[in-house]
Amino acid sequence: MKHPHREKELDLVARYLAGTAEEADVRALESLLLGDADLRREFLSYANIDAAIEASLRPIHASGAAPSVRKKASPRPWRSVLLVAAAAVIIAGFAFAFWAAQAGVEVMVLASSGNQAERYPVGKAMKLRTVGLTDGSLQLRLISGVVLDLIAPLEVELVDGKRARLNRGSLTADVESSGVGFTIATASANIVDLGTRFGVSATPAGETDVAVFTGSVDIFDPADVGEKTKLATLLAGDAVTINSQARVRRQAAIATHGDSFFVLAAPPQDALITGIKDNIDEQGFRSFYSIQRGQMKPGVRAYSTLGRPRWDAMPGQDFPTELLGADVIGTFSSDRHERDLQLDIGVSKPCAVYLMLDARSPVPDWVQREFTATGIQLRAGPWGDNPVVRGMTADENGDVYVTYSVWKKTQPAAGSVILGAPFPTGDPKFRAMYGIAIKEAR
Amino acid sequence: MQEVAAALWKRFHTLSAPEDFRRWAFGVARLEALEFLRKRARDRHVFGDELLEVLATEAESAADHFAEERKALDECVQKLPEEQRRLVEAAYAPGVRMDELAGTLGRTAMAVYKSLHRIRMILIECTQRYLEKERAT
Repeated sequence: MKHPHREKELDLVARYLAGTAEEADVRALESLLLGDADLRREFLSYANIDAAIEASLRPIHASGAAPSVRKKASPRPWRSVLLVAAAAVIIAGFAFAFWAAQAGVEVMVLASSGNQAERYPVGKAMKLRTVGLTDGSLQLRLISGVVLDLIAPLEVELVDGKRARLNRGSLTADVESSGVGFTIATASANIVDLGTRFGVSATPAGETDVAVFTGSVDIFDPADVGEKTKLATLLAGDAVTINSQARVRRQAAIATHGDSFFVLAAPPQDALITGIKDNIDEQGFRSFYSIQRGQMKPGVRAYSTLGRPRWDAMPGQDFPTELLGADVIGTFSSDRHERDLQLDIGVSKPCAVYLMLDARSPVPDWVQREFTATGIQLRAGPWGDNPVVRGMTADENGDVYVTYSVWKKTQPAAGSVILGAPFPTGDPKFRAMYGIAIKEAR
Repeated sequence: MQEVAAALWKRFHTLSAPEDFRRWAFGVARLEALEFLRKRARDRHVFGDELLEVLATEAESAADHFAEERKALDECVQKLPEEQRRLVEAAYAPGVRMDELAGTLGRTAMAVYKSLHRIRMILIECTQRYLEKERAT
């Protein structure tokens, strides 16, 4: 195929593919392409070569041989079209692996870090039976559609595409509709997924922690062959511990990390926050506080039970430096209804405790007595359809954010930090629960 | 590409027979690509659905040709003069910013874009010649 010399059109193509074309150029090119089959062939050929150059140079860049000026790359949305042409080549390798391999459970490695990164290369399809990690983390997709996030130290046995046995350590399972029924077995519980994202930790003492981030799970006694009698059903925001006698108790605090939450087996020994208790004693109440160590920054989750609202700076402002890197405690939104709430946070060192209060409401007496206003404001959002934001106006992007005023107190030594109710006298229905951040004193 | 590969793997169980593999893979990849592009629909710097559908269909039918082009490319990159090859290597390094690259080369970003455009055209011509020669032998 000879390429006609059409400098103007091909210059448009080049600028579109580089992500530098103005909107008017994109529309002009779109119109030209719709009416010109030859130009479409040239566009695809040009894009194909562009993508191929990058792929052919990858080994050179990986070896560090090429000069580079690195920063954020321009978006290249057109590449998806070419994926249609190239995907079969890549997938042929997976297909071969699928039919050729004889033992283990089919998985694809989606992410890998630490010492085992070489053993489990990203993008590789393989069959695995037992996975042991002493370092780093691993993300696997099973053929059933289940994605497992594994965090060292851990040992897990993949029984089949619908079942895994966690011998020790912590994993998080993300199960879509095709994987419903996926089961994690431990020494003290069988956790059956009902379409969800949940985390499981197996402790050396034979106990099992389960935290549900979205959806729900059923928990059965492993001695109950056939899984006929449920020990518990957990909903999003619930966490429990099951001991070796199949007793279920609420787990009030879960150490998590990552944007979509991975559950960690236990906080490290040098953790600033050693535990969280509250005075809520209701039958069947199992909500948990999330502890995100050192994660205070724009975009971190504000609540353990709500996925959308994230801490962010006020419009036009930088995120307050004072708060950056603090441990974040995700509270749960329903806590705002507790007029006698008392939170007891254990800390291992002197620290600064920050409370983010809904700026629309009066400041409770206990906060006025024990905390000082920093003058800092933060916002959290975007909120979904929630009574907390009823009557609020959306911004120019259609998103609703709540503004919070930040209060601070100094905790001079290791011990307990006691916090009270957010709305002891007012109506909590249309207001947000407070947020908490704690930072080690320097 | 990784997202599409992952999507294909995720939907692998929907494949009924190995001999249908190629058609199935294209179908899934096409859905994923279009879904991705629709998610970006608010970005006005992206083509609309109608053109994307046409391009996806034509890319699919020309897949073999593209695969041959990509094979030929390695030969053609090696034939580039040293200066052009080094420019391509620098410009295609992961995460490179064209304005910064232009600064280090003492040129304007527009001049670098134009040079890269010329080099791509040279490479396209080269791959076409290579493929025609292959077919003739």
